[in-house]
Amino acid sequence: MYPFIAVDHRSCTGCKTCELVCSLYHFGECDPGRSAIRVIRREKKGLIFCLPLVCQRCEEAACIEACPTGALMRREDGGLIIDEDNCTACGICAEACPAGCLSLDAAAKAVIGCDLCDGEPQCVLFCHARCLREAESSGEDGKQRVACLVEILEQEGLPGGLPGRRVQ
Amino acid sequence: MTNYLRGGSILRIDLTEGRIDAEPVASRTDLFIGGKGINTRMLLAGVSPGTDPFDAGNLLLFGVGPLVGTPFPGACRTDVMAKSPVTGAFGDAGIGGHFGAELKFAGYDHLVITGISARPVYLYIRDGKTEIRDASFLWGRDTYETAELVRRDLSDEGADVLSIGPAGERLVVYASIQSAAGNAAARTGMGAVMGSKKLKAIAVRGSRSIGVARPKEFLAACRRLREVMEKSRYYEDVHARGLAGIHDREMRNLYELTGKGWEGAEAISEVEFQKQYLHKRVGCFACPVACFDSYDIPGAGGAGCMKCSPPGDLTWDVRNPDLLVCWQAFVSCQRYGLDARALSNMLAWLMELHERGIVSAADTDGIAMKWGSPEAILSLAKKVSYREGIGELLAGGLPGAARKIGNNSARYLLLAKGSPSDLHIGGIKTRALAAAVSSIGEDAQIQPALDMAAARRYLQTQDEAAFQEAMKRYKDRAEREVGMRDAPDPRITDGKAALVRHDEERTGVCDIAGVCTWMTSFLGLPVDAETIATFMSLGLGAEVSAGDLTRAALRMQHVERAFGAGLGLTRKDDRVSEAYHSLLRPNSHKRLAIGFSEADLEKMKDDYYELMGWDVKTGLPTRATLERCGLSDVADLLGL
Repeated sequence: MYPFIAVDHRSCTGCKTCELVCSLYHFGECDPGRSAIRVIRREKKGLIFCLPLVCQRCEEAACIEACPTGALMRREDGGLIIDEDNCTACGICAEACPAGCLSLDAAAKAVIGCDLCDGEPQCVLFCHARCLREAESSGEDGKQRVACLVEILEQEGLPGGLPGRRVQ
Repeated sequence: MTNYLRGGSILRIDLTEGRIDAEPVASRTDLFIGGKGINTRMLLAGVSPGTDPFDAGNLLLFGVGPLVGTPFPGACRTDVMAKSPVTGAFGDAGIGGHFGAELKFAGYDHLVITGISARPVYLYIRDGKTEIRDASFLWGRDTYETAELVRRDLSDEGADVLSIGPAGERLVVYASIQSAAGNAAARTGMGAVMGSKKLKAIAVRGSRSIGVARPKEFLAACRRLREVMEKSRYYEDVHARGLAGIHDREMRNLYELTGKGWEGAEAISEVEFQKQYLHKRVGCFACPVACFDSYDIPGAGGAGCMKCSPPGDLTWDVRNPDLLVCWQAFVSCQRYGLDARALSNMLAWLMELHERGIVSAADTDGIAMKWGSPEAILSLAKKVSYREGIGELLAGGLPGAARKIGNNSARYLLLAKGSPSDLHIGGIKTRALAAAVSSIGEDAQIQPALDMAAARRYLQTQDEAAFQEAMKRYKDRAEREVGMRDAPDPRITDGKAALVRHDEERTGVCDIAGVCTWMTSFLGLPVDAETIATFMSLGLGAEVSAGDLTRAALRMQHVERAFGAGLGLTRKDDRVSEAYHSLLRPNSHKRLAIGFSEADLEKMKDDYYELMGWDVKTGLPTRATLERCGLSDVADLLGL
């Protein structure tokens, strides 16, 4: 059992406050590009589609498996550890996540893993629409959660995830 | 670092020459802070009095305030400004959405667009780089299609796009600038100015950061402010239902006040409409209210996002009980890029003229402009936007249309500064004064609440004692806010100028900071000048006081007034059209008492000019006033 951020995109209003508070908390500036959570927001024929994407902390994580230098590892609480000495910021991990839940920090050339803000995830605190909430993973269902996100993206006709190729 | 809270630069684009350059915004922030403040000063400096709104020399300005791009609640606004084809003078409209934040992340706080392109173009602004691109393939498209085609052309699905529709292309003076998500810079014809420049769209994409001097404290203060907002009296209602519940109540209240209710109006319920048809609630960048309702109604307009006034304007004000008809007309306005308020105003005018026998179906393309007629309501947006039939007459502006129609039709135009007002403003004293002295005519953001509430109580209470009892809390609040206990009394002119000033200050501070005024007492929410000053201080790492902000907002108003003065506008031009006087059906002495006479308006103008430090004879700023607030250059310009 470990915590993760559960996403119910149906109530997301697309305000992107989660991106801002994530970057403000971790990097001390407002930069949606330097946030562990990204909101895919698309205007389409008069309607607005919104989907926040954030690491779902899969047990068998495609990102960890794909890392060519072994720089990506799992913490006990399910979070990612990034060995900065070995990370080459090649982006293969981000591309490997089927839903594109992993962010790449273009400025610092690094992966941004969700660390749940030391127990008080800012994005959850600020989410007025209650589409983000902290939940407990059973330890087995991570891939299923990612598959759900992929399905939502596909239903919208959006290319499967991948911040590297940028749905965002 | 001097660029905290800023994109960093002012981007200048000359569409005649195809020239693009930039200058630092820092040199302009001291006196005017940002957003509408800096825009106003640039308009005065850049547009000479002889310039026609559609001349190459007119500037189309986009300004984004310092709090935009941060998580400050509701900091999403972009101020759009130009010399207006509606007022013939100052033009200004605000727009929310994501454009402003994206522009700042791309490195810019302001766009200054001048010149006229030889062929249709659109702009692509991305992280310090700007391209002027061919838009011939977009010309003729509506605003939904345009945004989609622009993104496809750029292979950039996340770009934020503002565009004009057929109305802007055809220089319809009531043309708006639109996002494809329900946001509009709708008033004073900014879309027509954009069309005159052959500028079809602006796409923007930014991936830079906005610096914050004290990030931890800024974040913590944001958290506290959100908590206070969530506990505010109306938050739960507006968060759950947007404006629907408020509208339903307010429209009933206003029609009770004006005495102009009509049979069938009681059936109008936006709340019920929402229950039946709502697709989703959506909102602007960084907004914890999310006041937009999105609907997808096949066969009756299709999809779109709506907030604000159209559900009242296109129902109550045109005696249409059917919200599906309203929705369809509203979506047309969105797609064609037309100010929905101008549409409802002109519909009501034509319907009044039809009722009085001044126009007949033969004058309006065979469609009888009967009150509430779906056919009339549904056909007019397209006609005006495409200048077809009767639309050609209306597209150049209502005063001109009235001159052509003649037959006393001008008497029934509800205008201030040439701009169409909304019909449910309820001609009480503060509304008349606010519209008369504003540079853009009726401004939906300026709605002093106290005398409106007091006016309703006055009509409802049986005798003076009951009225005075009900007035106590309004008087207490007036004493706190403007230092005059009797200011809310709807029967007297005293204190009305102070109430209007108080409201102008509230919105002015928001407009320069980039914050939506709906975060303020307007919706019973807690943001005020103190709040904004606190966050500006944390963001900039330098002390900014509420006084600094209100002084900047006051400077902005002096400069607006100076712009009009350059065109020869004076006190005599601060007026509202004759129809304002009949907004209240004077079927009782009570309604006569809360309305206003010409003499009342002149008396309130005296008080207002005095509060502003303007010459009471001319209504213009004096040199002493301008010098006191650091604007001696403006005094020089006016030759004072």
